Amino acid sequence: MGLNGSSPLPRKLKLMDIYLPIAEVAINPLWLLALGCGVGILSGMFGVGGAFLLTPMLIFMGFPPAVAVASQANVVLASSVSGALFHWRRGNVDVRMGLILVVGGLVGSAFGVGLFALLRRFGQLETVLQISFVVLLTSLGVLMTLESLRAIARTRTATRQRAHIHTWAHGLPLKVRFRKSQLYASALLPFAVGIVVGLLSAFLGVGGGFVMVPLMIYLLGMPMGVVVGTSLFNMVLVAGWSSVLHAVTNQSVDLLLAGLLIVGGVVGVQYGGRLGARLPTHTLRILLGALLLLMATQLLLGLTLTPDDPYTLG
Amino acid sequence: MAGSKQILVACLVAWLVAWLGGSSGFLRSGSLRTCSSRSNSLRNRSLRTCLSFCAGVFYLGVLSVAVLAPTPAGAQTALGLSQDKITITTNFSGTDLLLFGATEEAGDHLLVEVRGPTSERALFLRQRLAGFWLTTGRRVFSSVPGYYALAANAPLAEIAEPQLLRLLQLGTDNLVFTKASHSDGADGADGASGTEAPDTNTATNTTTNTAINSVTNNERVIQQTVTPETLWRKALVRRLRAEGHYPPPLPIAFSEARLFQVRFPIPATAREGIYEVQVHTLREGVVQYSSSLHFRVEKGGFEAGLVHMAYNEPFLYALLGLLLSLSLGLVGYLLGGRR
Repeated sequence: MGLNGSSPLPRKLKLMDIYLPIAEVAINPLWLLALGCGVGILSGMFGVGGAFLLTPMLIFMGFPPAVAVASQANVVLASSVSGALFHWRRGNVDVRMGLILVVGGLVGSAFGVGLFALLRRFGQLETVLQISFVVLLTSLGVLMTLESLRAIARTRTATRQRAHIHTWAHGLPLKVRFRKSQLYASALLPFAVGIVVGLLSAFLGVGGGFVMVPLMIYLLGMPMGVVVGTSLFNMVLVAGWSSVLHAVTNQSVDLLLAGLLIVGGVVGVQYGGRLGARLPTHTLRILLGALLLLMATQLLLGLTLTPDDPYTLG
Repeated sequence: MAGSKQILVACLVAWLVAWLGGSSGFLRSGSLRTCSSRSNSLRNRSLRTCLSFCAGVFYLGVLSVAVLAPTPAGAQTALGLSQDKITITTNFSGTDLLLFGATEEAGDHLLVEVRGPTSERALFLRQRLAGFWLTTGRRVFSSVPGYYALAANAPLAEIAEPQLLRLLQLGTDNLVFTKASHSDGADGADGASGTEAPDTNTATNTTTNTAINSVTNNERVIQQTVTPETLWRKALVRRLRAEGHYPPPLPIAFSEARLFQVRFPIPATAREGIYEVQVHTLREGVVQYSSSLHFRVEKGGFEAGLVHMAYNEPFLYALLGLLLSLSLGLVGYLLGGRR
């Protein structure tokens, strides 16, 4: 991406720059606080993690993708801890289901971190991350827009969805009773879901809620009430695990970067929650979808436009 | 040219200084930072007295020569640095290092170079494949100075022959970056495929060639014999320059006929380690004497601890990260709890 090392800040603000030791980037901390806060607001408003926004943003800002992704694990951990505690207190966590998901998640994230280290060694990490984010952001953006359009239509026609869906997957062996989810289903399924989500979260530095929640609802057939709490519970453990793995194998976790983003996020979420209660969220969700598509386009352009210099330092 | 009478007086004074300095340890206190390795390595007092006596004999010799023929002897250039340690802390946004000194004679040509600690650097080449710019080649160089700056008080061509500059590895064009031929095998058994592409594929060379032309046509003229090797090394220098590690040729400012100073920009992302400053004094294309100085760049304070921990105690660092995230997450929960 030709942005390495340079912050997109005006010169006069340079005086206040701080040097992030692991990222080896000098940047004004206010930008990071603002970025964390902005994503926190969105996350409070829509109940999304927001990491899928933060990671590409950091890459745009010139952070080495390796550092952006690895430090993101800590940000995801912090944001999911507060969410998980909130749902835990209300009893919205299916611990048994969560733990099986976590077991899969630990395996998946180990694979994710390994893949990350391998690609990094061969200089393919940046490109693969960019392509992955283009795919991710495009699909999320399209889905989010369609979903909100449908939701707006639904509120008008006021039809109700079924709470519990039976699928072929419920016929697999190793059946376990999940009392909280009111399910009697195979443990292999949540294990597989855990692997997929763990891989995504460790490799892309995202929470994975956007993949996990639909899978839990449509594939596992979990009731809406426990889905969010359980996915957050899973995220705490998986993100914690991947942050340790990233720190140990890639040494690319910048705690100063993570800390600034988290502090911004903690503040942002508070306002986001309040704002979300007042504003027409379905309409805003369409805007969020548009933002995601815009970012995907930007990343795609970065991949297709002729770079300033075909050579880059590793 | 100074008159022989002046040289005579100067030599006498120098002898006295050497005598006094040798026996009283005055030189060791280092008011001048000139790195004379001899006086540094000497610990023994009697040896020092002996040395100063020898210096006296030497100066006597010089004196006699000076009387016979008025050719000045090569004393070392007096040099000093504004800082001998640069500490990178959180609010470090780069600094200028000032080298000052005095030349022996007014007309001397000076070449001042600063080299940062060498390390292995990898360079990647991207090419358009099916509309996308993808990484297709990798080259690992085993000894790349983390910083390189050259200052001169005249165009390089006037100062010395190209052969001499190449011999002394002066200037970014003359730096030797050894290609780490085994490094691919060393850091990954299956790494060989990464480096082969640019070498074997002639189509690769032509595309990179045009890409290079578009980048640098205003800066440097591509030599007629463009080998992939020169393309890679030029690209390496170009990228390091773009990141501020290889500043463009710097001027030497003279405040008087003999007093000079050079300002070296040290970027915020400077690498840690020992940096060497070398000052070559040339007359008519011949190096008269060279002196060197060192300074150190290190991450300091909170920073240093954090980085040290990240690389040397990664597990502890990870636990610190967990603690940070968990506690901040808890704060978030407590703040939001009232909702």
